Parts: sequence; C-alpha cells; structure tokens
Amino acid sequence: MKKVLIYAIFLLALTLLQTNFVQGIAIFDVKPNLLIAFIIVVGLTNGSRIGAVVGFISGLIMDSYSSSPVGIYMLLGMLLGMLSGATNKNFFRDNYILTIVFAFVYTMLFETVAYFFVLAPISWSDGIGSVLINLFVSYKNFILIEAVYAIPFACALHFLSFKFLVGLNKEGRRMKYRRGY
Amino acid sequence: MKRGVKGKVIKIGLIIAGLFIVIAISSNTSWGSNLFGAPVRTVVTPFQSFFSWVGGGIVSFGNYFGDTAKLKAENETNKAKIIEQAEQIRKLQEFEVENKDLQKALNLIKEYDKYDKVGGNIIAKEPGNWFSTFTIDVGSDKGVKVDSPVVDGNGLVGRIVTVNAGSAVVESVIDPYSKVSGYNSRTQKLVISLRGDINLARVGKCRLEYVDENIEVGDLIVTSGISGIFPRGLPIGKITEIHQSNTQLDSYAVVQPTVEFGKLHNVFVLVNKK
Repeated sequence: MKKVLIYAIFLLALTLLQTNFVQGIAIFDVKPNLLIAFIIVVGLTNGSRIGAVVGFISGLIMDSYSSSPVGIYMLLGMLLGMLSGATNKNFFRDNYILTIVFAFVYTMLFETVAYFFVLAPISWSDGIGSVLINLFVSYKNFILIEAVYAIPFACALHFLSFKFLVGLNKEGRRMKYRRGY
Repeated sequence: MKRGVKGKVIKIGLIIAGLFIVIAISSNTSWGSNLFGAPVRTVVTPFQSFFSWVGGGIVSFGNYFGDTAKLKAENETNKAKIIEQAEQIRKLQEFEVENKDLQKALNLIKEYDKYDKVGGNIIAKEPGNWFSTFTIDVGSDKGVKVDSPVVDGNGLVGRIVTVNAGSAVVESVIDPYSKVSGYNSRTQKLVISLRGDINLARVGKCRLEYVDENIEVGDLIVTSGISGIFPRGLPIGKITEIHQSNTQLDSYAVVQPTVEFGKLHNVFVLVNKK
C-alpha cells in the first residue's frame, strides 16, 4: 500500500508540474517531459515490471491531455518502461553516466516512435517524402532539444528514486545494494 | 522456450493487443477517448485548479514587487508630482487596452447571441511538445459538449475534444489534429483546409493549404460554418506568408491566428441555448 501511495504521489506531483509549470522553463519553445524521464529512471532503477506499470500509467496521463487517440502513449510508455528496465542489469546507484545516456537515447527513441504513431498518419496523405521531411524538421526543432533537456531532470529523478522508490520492490532492493566495483 | 518466459510473452502480447483495440476505438469515437481519459482528469483537475490559482498568485506577487522596484527607481530621478502623473497615464493606458479587449469580446458575444457563453480558465497545458491542447475548468456540468466551439475576444481558439464533469480538453486551431474550413473575408472565397502543423505550432501559427493566386498577405480568414461545428464568421487569423508552387495542391500559406495562444488564460465555450 505504501509502495502504491509513494508512486501515486510522484506521478501526481510530476503531472502537476508538467501541465502547469513546465511551460515556464521551455528552451527554444521546447518543454522537458518529466513523465518520460520518470519512466526511464523507474525502469532503470526498479526493473521492467515496475517500469512497465509506471510507463502505462504515465502514458494514460499523457493520453488524457492530448488530442491523439487514447492508448498510443499508454502503449509507448509501457514499452519504454519495459525497455528501460531490461537495461538495468548493468545499473548501480552512483552510475549517473548510464542515466544521462539512456535519458537522451530513450527520449529520442520515444519521440521518434511517437511521431510515427501520432503524426505520421496525418501527413501520410501527402506522401512518404512529407512524412520524412516532417520527422527531420521535428528532430531539428525539438526532439533533440527535448532529449538533451531530459538529462538534468532524469538525474534529479535518479537521485530522488534512490531516496524514495528503490527498495520498495525485490528488483529495486537488489539494485539498492549493487555497487559498480 | 521456457514455460515462464512463454507465459510472460503471451501476457505482454495480450496487453499490447488490448491497447491496439483501445487506440482503434478512441480514434473512431469521441466516447472512447472520454471513457479512458476522463477518470485521470477527474482525479487531477481539483489539484490543477488549485495549482493554477497558486501559480497565478505567485506571478501577481512577483509583478507587485517588480512594479514597486520600478516606482522606487523613478522616485529617485523624478519629482513626486511627475511620478504621480506618469502613474496616472500608465493606468489610463492599461484601462484603454483593457477597454478595447472587452469591447472586442462584447462585440463577439453580441454576434453569437444564439449561443450561451460559458467562461473557463485554463488549468493545464498538454504535457508534451507534439500537441497544442489545453484543459479548462468547465465541463459537461455547464453544458459543454464535444465539438463545442471555443473563442476569446479576438476570435476562434479551437474546439472541445474531450469533456467530463468539471473539465474539458480544448484542441486549438494550431494543433496538428485541427482542421477548419474558412473563407477569405476579402475575396469571399472558400478556403478548404486550414490545419495545424507541428513545426508552425511552435511559433503559434498554422497552415492554409491549396491556396490560389488571389490570396494576399494580410487577408483575414474567418470560419465558413460549413462543418456545422463553428458558427460562420469567427475570425481565425491573417495570412503572413504565401508559398506558391507550380500546382495549387502544393501551394500553401502561413496563418497567424488572431488569438495569442501564448497569452491565453481565459476562454469562452459557445454552448447551444436550450
């Protein structure tokens, strides 16, 4: 029960920050996505299972605030949590390097796949060329910036995760005492 | 394959298949997206209203101190009487701007007398960078429905895409999923497709497709009323750039909406009178 409550508090706080305040810290009109960063960090620190559940719920939150068909972000969030969790075998407490690398790579991956699910169908009628040009322009305009911007938030969440979340489940407890040497 | 692993794969496959069914349902029906999205918004909306109110308070508080510091600086360089007069002028200018905005809003309200106007505050913005949607604090309890037009004093903001008891999600005209038909108020010609564009949305603009050679920079595009969603004549935006190509199919124009989305805090939802 305590475990569910702590995750719920995290998700509620991040949702409120994401939907009310993050606009104010946008760089080049690009907002960081705290929910994606959270899915990545939870996957890395707590494993695939928890990562998938948190990804699913975070996706539901993103779906409920967007104009895209509901379910796309749930699916992508869940898969991101699973993927992130699958890479946590080499992860340990002080390893911020992996958090930095995966925050960047997975945000890029998430947004690229999201583009094909969410926006490519709209420009599909204009041809494959238009779909690829829009993707390229989206990379240039915000996906890259968003991926870089995810890094400091993922590091902060990494710290908070080890403080409050790791140790709430079996996989996480193993993680808590794993060392990089 | 080991039994446990096989079971896991089947479970994951079933969840993914289920999610694809959810996507299919919600992309074809409005009740689908309401069904899955409404519970989340119901839980989060009260907190959002509170945080939105707190956020507004912090900004006002900051502005208050900003103004005080400004006045102090002026006080050092000017006589008290001049400061007083300057302050009076500033206030008058503020009233003038406010008066103009209210006048515009009032004109719009008079124009669309057949609708009830439900005022709403923006309490949340879309979490990601792909869309230009936002959540307002009025919902079905005030008669707001899916597809209800949303306006402000300057023109069309968008339409409602999902609604629940205390809140609703607005899809703005610059959102990539938005499509509005309009006509050119100068030439009185119909323009078929004014749609959102992911890359223009970042700078608060949208795209008008299939433009002909009669279109000019500065033309005002207004709603046509053809779709039955928006009333005819609502200002949408002005043409700022024209990209002509060999064929009309490839030609497009960039439209600057009359609504300033970056400064939008309050909107009106047009609800059919009972």
